[in-house]
Amino acid sequence: MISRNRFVFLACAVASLLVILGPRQASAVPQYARRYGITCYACHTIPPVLNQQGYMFQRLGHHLPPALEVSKPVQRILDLVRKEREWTVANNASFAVADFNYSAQRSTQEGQGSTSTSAIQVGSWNAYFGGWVPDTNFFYFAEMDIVAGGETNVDLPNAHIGYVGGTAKSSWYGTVGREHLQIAQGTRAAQVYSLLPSAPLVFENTGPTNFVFDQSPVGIAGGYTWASSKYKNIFGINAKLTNGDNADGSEILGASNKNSKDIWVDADWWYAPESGISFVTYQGKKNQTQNSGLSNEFTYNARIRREGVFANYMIGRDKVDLLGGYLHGNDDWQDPATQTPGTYQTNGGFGEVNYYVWRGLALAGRYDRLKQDLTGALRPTTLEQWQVGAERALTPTGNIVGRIAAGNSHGVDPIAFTGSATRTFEADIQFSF
Amino acid sequence: MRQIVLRRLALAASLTALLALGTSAVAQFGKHSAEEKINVSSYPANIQSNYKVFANKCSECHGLASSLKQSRSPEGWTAEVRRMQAMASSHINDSEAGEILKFLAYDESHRKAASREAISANTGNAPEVAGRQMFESYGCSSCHSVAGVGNTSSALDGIGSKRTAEELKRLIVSPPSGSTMPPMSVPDKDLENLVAYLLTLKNR
Repeated sequence: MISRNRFVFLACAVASLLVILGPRQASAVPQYARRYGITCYACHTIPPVLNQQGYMFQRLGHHLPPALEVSKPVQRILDLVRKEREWTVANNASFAVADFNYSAQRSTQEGQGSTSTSAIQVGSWNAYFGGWVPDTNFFYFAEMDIVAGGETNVDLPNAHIGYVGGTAKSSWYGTVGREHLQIAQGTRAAQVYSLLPSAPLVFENTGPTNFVFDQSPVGIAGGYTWASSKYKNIFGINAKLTNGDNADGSEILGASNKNSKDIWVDADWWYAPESGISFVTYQGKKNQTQNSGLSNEFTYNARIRREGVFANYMIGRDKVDLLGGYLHGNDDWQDPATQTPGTYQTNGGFGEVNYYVWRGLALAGRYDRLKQDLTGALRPTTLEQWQVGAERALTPTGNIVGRIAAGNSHGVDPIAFTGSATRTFEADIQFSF
Repeated sequence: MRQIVLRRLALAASLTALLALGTSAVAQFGKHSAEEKINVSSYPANIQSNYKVFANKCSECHGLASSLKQSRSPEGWTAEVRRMQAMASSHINDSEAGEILKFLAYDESHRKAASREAISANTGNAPEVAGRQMFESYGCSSCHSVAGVGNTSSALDGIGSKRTAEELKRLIVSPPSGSTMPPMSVPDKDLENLVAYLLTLKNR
């Protein structure tokens, strides 16, 4: 008789082996790769992690960055447009970027015991429409999420149009619409998408002020990029003016009574081929509701501030990537009971190692720590999280990717002061067609 | 209840889509992989070693089919590899570039040359037939398609009605500056055959 734990262990071991040693047969390419007849690795280390070329692709208005040879003429953006392949639906749309996953989770909450859950589900299913307006410098990008987090919930986290000018070496762009913070921003460590299923805590933590860094605000954005010959160095700066968030933390998509705009700025330096550093800042304000729905409900205008630095450095002939990041938060906060003004301060950081065993196979591990300090609280509290995982492309082009990961997170809630811990195991497979 | 039905519908639809796409993906792979590999066991040991570098580096971004099918002069390949070194995220250093060039030069003068000679010998005096095979031999289909076969992003159907023989020769040997097409180093006889074939691609 095999015990339940042993069965789960064996199932996980088999799943891990299938992912790592599984078949490499199957190939198809999503829209951008289809357009140029290239593999996913041209722009990703392993999807979805963008490399330097993927970053430049977005900064140049969704055109493949040309070679920047020493003492050769530099192409204008319009030259890139004129060399584009014929516009077709196939090279502008991907209808099935889907993730199927198995996840098991065991959570323990102080005073409430433990609960276990597991699910096999369609984790996500997205459709993308992105490309260029033929014969012009205009570009567009839209993402429709049909399934997210296992739930059918149609959303449009990206829907913007932009214009790019200048040359491949010195370019600028402007966009308007809804844009995920990730788009065209950030070197490797500042990317929300990583080899592991969960993003660093500093991007995903929702504090008492209902603000989460990983969001898709509506607004206008502009950026400038300069690249040296052979892309040895790339400098990029990007700024956004956005609507901000509703009281519940959701993005304001239409009219609202909030009479201020939020500002996002980031500056990036890529050092060839794949190392880099990013500085990020966000300054905003939101109408924060406390005691929502109760007779003593009140609203105040909380200032939200974030400043951070993220860097990565590749060693060992581009096999080992060392990543780290730090984000400081300083938000206005009012105690729900006393309405006394104060602050909610966070200091979060992570360290991550990615080992690219060979093309299409990588091992990753990350440790996250987030310290939270609330005015009036008994003491600062801490959240900690670690994850280890393996990611394996199952096709030569890299459009089908399998991943397994295990993790543990534990910490204390900064308001209720209750401790909780969660252990997770995830195995997923992502298809991009 | 409605949510459960919607969820099940979404799951069924996604599984159906997955099955259909998976089938087409496997079919594509069969075609792709056949174009990707060549047998280098008869090549000298040092060239076999160069081939490994070529296969590893060049397949990172674009697969090998285009490089294994296209023909270029040594100067043409040198310029092309230099261009690749100057791309973003390029992981080709000078030493690796040298190894790649050695393989390409050897492959050009042996396998590709033998293939073209065989085409010429087998097709006798039918230039458009030889030209059609040259079209494949020179790797034109990695960027162009005819009747939906090849890279459909740049279809050549009807080009025989739009261009004269002289124009086609000029476009092949020295494309206009700014064009994505590289200048092709093609012997005169092969050029005649290619143009003869292209002239048969008339508008219907």
